Amino acid sequence: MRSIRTNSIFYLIIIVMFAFLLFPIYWMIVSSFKENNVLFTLPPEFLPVNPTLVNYKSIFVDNIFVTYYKNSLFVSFGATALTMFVATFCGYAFSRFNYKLNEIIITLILSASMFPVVSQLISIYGIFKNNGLLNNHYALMMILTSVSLPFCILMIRSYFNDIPKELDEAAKIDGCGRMRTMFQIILPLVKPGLLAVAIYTFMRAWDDYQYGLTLINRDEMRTLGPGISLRFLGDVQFDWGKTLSVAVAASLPVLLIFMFLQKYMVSGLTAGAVKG
Amino acid sequence: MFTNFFEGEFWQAFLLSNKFAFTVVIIQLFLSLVLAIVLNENIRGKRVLRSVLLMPWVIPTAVTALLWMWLYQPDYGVLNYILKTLGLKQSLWLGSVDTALTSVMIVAIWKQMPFTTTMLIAGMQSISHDYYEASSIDGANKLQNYYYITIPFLKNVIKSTTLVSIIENFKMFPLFWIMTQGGPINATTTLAVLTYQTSFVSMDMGKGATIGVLWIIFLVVFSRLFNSVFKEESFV
Repeated sequence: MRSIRTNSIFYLIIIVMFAFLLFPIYWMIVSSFKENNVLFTLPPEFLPVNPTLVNYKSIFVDNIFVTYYKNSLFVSFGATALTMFVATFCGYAFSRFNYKLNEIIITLILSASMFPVVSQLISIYGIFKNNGLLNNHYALMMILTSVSLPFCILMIRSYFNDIPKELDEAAKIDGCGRMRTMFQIILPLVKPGLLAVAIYTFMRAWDDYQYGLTLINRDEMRTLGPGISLRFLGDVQFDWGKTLSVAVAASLPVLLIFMFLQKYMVSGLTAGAVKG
Repeated sequence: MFTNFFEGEFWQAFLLSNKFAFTVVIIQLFLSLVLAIVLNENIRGKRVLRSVLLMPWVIPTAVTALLWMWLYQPDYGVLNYILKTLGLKQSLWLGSVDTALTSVMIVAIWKQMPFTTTMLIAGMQSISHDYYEASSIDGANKLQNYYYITIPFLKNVIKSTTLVSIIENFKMFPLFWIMTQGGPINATTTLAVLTYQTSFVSMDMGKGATIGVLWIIFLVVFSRLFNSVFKEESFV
């Protein structure tokens, strides 16, 4: 049996740590429901006295935020689809074919993901500029795919590895070709893995800041991250109420994914990171 | 040439990056380890806590930067208000040369700690309960259990997450760029910021690429050293 003292130390740690982790989020959400003149009063209202939707309504007035949102959705979904397509084939190949170079190739792919983003951007920017790919959502999609691919390949490979090879062999004896084995026999079994890849990529793409900032410079083409930070912080007079309501809205998709699909997210991450 | 090297902006940024990355990773690892150990105990509501824990990590980085800037506001920010009610000295946070780097560090720890904790919990769940039972029979207390069983078993997880997060923090860009842009007076100009400024603000791509290459060489050498010092140990 645990002593009361140990128990109270545990709960104390939990309270302190979770206060640190959750209070900022709470404060963002609460503040987004206050009017600007309430925001700047001291002492601050820890519970909003007159919650208001003024800030959220103002988002739709100039509409630029909605444009950013659409751009981000488009780019993120595109990158997700592309990553799933490529990662599935790569992961399957690494799991099922025993080439001598497999390990070397995997190391190379992984070291590419260690490369500093800024250095990548210097070369990517040059290439994009010479080929007229700046301000192009499809090009951004491609880059974001390449960003999440290394980890996704490892992640989906570990799911494939968990499925016995005998299954492939049985299918082969029954007359299935490679493709059919993969699509009809193996893929249905790694559905959680596919979902994990999709969630990971979507969140990485939605979180993107640096690529979008550099490779897109027309305001109406920008994605959320760079868009909100440039527009709302560039102003001398901060409209904090609006900024915070935009921030809440920008977190909404990932928070929803997190709430409903967390099981797949966490299992995918540990599969890729701990086992891989 | 080399005297210039150690006085110039590169060296200063290099030191700042190291200071940032190592401080963040060490504090983060310690806090995560404590939290993971607690959440691995029989605590009421630990399932809910474990999932709520990840919230800071899923929130987009740009949003993180914005919301902390709001907390850090010097005049009407909530953090300064709390400090004032506690009778402590208020701070300028991001606005002062002395505290800007620390302020960004706090945000980085806040954002990354949940993920590290989750990884550590996942690692802890693979430790068989028999070991704890055996050591308790031998008369070990809780702290000894953590020190002699939990942490040695987690060595590999700790090793890999540490290396990854040192590299990630060395590369950290969005938080700096949104919150401080390298200022005030270069107090937060890390290598990532310096490279970006040189190549995309001053548009001196050649110089930017050079800084980038130096920095990659350092990271490669560092991860080699790290891996050879902390060799993968198979336990039991």
